[in-house]
Amino acid sequence: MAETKEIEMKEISPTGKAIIAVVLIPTIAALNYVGGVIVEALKAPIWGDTWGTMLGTLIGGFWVGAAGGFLYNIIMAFTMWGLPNWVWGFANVAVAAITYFLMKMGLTDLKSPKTWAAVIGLFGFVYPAFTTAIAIGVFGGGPLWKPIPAAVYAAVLKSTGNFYLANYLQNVSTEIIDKPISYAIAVIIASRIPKRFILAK
Amino acid sequence: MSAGISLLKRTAVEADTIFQRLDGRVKFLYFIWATVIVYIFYDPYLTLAFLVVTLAMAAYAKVLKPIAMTLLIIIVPWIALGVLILSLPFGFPWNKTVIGYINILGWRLPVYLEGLGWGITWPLRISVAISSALFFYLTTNQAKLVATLFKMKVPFKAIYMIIATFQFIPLLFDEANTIIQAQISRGLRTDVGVLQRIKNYLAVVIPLTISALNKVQTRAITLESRGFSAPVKKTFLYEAKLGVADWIFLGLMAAATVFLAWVYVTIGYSPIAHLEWIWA
Repeated sequence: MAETKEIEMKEISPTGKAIIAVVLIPTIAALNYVGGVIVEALKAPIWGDTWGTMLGTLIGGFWVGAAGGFLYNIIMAFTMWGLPNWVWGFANVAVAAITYFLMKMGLTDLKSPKTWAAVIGLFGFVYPAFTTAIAIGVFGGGPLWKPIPAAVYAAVLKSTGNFYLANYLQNVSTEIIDKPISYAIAVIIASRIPKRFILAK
Repeated sequence: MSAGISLLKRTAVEADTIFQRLDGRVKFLYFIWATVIVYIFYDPYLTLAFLVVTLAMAAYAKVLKPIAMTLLIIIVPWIALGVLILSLPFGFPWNKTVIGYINILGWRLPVYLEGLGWGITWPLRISVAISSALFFYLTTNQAKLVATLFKMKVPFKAIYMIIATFQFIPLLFDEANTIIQAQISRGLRTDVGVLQRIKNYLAVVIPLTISALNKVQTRAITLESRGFSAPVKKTFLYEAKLGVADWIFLGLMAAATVFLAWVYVTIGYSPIAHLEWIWA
């Protein structure tokens, strides 16, 4: 049997990583936006506008993901959502930070229960505490304008009379589904893209 | 979100009105100023007045339709839900002043002033923020936007990222549409259960992302070949300068600020509705 000689394939990028990052950041921001639009078109039960941030973090590192996510929020705040909504940019920075933490801890194997426990714990329960603080501090709290979280809000407010708990639990009811699914989407895509785009170490 | 699609697919409306001719920085300042003022006061009538003024300027500048559509989609459902839940006895903790009763499905429910004020004022504040932001965006073309941002000392790379995002959104949206149509023609069904809808989502976003990332390399090479990173002074298509109309507009804002400061000091944060500030 003839000896097989392994050939090392090395992808060569004609541009520097800094310039790739400059182009990658608006692409991440645009993917966040278009992701949200596709959710509406396909009527998927998620928000779908943060997987771009997660993907940016997985392939470009914390700063690319955070900048792409923040830019998305800034543009939405300056056009469709209104100026105060720029603060949601920090929620995208938090998403990038959690994703970076998960990546660094090696929690990107979607078949591992440990990954899902960490993802659900961090995105489903810790992250909503952050978004609740923003929602109450900047927007006065109150029900979201999607039927399920609004129903959760009304039910918790009615049964406990606790304004903060009602806001937190309605956020949990959306994030606990949206963010783990978004994380799974980002991990699946990141595993399929060419290596020359992977800037994260 | 469909309003957003049509909105971000369009660029500035090229009409020849005084508002299109105003410097981008003045309109940007109006957007910040109006938003801050309606957040300082806690009065739905005053907030509504700001909204009416902004919409009147938008109508004159021929950009009312996209702004009104956005407000209809975002704000109206928010007010409807917020008022319903917060002003009725569903547990809003600061409710105490009954202003009337309403019959719902045979139940006579009290309507509370505190919840009603909260449920109307907050979405109205956001309405002012959205309409003034869109007024700036839709009356300032991209060449002027670049010049405005540069004059505001925004770093050149950040300006590129902002403008590039505005350009990528319609491009990616068109591509997503093509992918959705291609997948539907290959048997992708949209009238399916929740889990299948998520799988459908993947079937669209994976090819979309791969395609978008492939273009990143091409764009990076193009930027490099055009001297994006070159250490030279950048020049622009349009130079931002303040004219007479800009100074008049700024003067009106300054006069309104003085008047509103006087109102705040002498009457208070809710000069017309006389709402009480509620907070934990």
